[in-house]
Amino acid sequence: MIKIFFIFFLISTIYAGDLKLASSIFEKITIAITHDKKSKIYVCSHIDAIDKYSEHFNIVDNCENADIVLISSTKDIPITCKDKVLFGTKYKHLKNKNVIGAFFWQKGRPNILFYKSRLDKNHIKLETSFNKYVENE
Amino acid sequence: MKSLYILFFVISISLFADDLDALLDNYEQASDLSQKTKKESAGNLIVYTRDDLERMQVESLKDILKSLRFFSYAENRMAQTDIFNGDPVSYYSQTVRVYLNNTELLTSLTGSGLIMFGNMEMDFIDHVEIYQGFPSFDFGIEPATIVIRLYSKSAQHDEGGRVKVQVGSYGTNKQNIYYASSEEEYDYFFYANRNDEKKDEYEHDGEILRRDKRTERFYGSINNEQHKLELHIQKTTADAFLGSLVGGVPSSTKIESQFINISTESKFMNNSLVVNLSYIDEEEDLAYRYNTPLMMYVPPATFIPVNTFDQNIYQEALTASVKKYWDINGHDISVGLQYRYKHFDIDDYIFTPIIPPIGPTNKTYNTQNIYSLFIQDEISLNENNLLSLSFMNQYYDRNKDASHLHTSQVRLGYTYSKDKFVSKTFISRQEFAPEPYMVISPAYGNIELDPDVYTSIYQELSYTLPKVIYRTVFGAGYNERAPILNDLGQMTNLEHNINGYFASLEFTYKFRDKDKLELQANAFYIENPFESYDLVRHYNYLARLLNTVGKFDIFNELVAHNGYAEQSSSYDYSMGIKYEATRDLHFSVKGENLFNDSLTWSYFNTVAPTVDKVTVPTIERRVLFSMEYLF
Repeated sequence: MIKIFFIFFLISTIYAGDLKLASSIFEKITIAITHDKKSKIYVCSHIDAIDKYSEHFNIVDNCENADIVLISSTKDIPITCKDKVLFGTKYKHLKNKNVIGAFFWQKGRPNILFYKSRLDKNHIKLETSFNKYVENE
Repeated sequence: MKSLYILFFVISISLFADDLDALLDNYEQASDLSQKTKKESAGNLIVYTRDDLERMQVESLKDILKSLRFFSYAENRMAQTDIFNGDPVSYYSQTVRVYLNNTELLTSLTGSGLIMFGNMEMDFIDHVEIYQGFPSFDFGIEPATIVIRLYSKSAQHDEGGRVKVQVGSYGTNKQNIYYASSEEEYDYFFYANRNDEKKDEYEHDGEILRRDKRTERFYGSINNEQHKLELHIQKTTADAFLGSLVGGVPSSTKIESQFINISTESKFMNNSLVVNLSYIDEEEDLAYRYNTPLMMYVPPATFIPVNTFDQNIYQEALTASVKKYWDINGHDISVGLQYRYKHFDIDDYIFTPIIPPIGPTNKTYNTQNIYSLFIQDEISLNENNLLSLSFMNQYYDRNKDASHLHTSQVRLGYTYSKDKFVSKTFISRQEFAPEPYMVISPAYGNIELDPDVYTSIYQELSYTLPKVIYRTVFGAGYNERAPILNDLGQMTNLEHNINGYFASLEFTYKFRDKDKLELQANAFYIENPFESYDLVRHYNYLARLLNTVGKFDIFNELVAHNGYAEQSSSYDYSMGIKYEATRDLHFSVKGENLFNDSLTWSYFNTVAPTVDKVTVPTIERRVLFSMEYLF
């Protein structure tokens, strides 16, 4: 049954799967942060779009080897992630000072937001095309 | 060479930025929550996405219902929504079911919540699905001809808040606010609204008839991944226009009502087991005053002049349902066990001067238990063919003098999909139990009323291209034992069948990403229940244009009717402009029925010794100015 209705959804490009689009956005964000298409990513604990399209990412099993950590919750972040670059999926994650930015839904629309001071602190220079998503804290 | 590199660098950066912005735009559209909730096989589906509702400036459910395929927005003689209205019976839309998320909004007496929520403001609604053609049984405990599903906004997409203020014609004004937040363990959403809807006044027999309505609403939800708790409170104070009594024009009418609903939803076993509980408590006070005494008909043949009528109506409903879903070798099987308890009390009423009791009110029932079971199997024959078999059964346990009832429904659906072409066929035979108001009404109730039966076939064909959608819907059906008023003014089952035929042609053209043209032509033929084989021919047409130009969203809509309820042709033209001053601050203006030529509706004032009717427009001409601020 799922198959038959997928046809409905795939007819128009605007109805491309939302998870696929979300994974593409995460891909651009991680490249913009690390300047590396093969950056090592640790996901804590699960993000649907990345779980589903994990082949698009270089996922690692533990934080120690990661270049960037994508978080779905600020709870239970492994101690080994302590000094890593954290990127959130909710606006509230930005309350954690170790989170440099987030991709989240707010006010009925998807948003990308980075805090400049946190980028500077971590010596991260984003591609200039991301300037519009950078704000002072 | 260096400048070529610089040029290449600038272009690639700008493309990258545009690419990401476009991705975010596409992601926003693809994430529309209707993609996750709609059920294509459940009926002839009409979806209003978040984007549609915002760009059309849909203020109330009425704004959608007025362009509903085959029908129109209509109200009863008390200015309450009743799209199948057959005056002077106070409600005829008992088979139209309204849901907020997975909770049915109903009143125990009418069986349907359309009477109370048909004009509800839509500021806390994310998207709307309307299922026509005797939809799937897994929506509710009882069958329906039309199911309207409203989905509230939530923290999933609307974290943050919004405040909105609106002013408009006749002093209409509205203020509301919502706030949503997503915490680590749970999400919550709160909404509060105050809406003072003012309308034109109509003079008849020296009295002024009014349809103003003030609504206050609170809706709150809190949920985690497994459980959801919702609280919904609505309080209204409204003019009751002509009132429910036939025989004179009131000098004033008033309805005060309070609706409280608390509901829960829990999901277990990897979301394959869903348990819903809902409790509704509702109270309504009616007050009619007459300068010229109303000539109250008291059977068998007496008219008594009355000056006032006051009534308190109390209703409650408890609903519990358990649904289980299995996916076994191409079979999507769902089974539901459902129970509903209804209690209602309409006996607290008084006329001045006091008149003898009318009808057998005290001897009929005031409590009803409904036990319902449905089984549905959606069989994927292969990747192009889906067969859907459904069966539902209800047992109505009614107290006092009312006998028990047993009703059942069967439905067969077939969906064929190949590339861009989709065909949906639905055949059903469904019994509808009479709702309590049809049985216990002192004016027209009949305890002997039997369930009526609808047998129908609907066929929908659609062909979808990247920019164009062609769709046609057509069908036929007949209604056995339809409940209508007989010559004595009592509800009775019609002895002959009522045949109906309907057809719709639809064309949607998305000529740019944010520009859309919709055209519809609908025809609906139905036999006049009072004069069999005399067809009522109703045609309605829709042209709707949505454009985005820079920071402006522009909406144009023309709804035309011909032949409906024996009224003359009507043309309801509406337009709106929304200006996005900043991403968080929006201003809008909307004009409704700008030609002042919308559909009119007639209500009986007197039936004896002469017939006199009051005729008013269903949609009035008005202009609204709004401001929204997101925070």
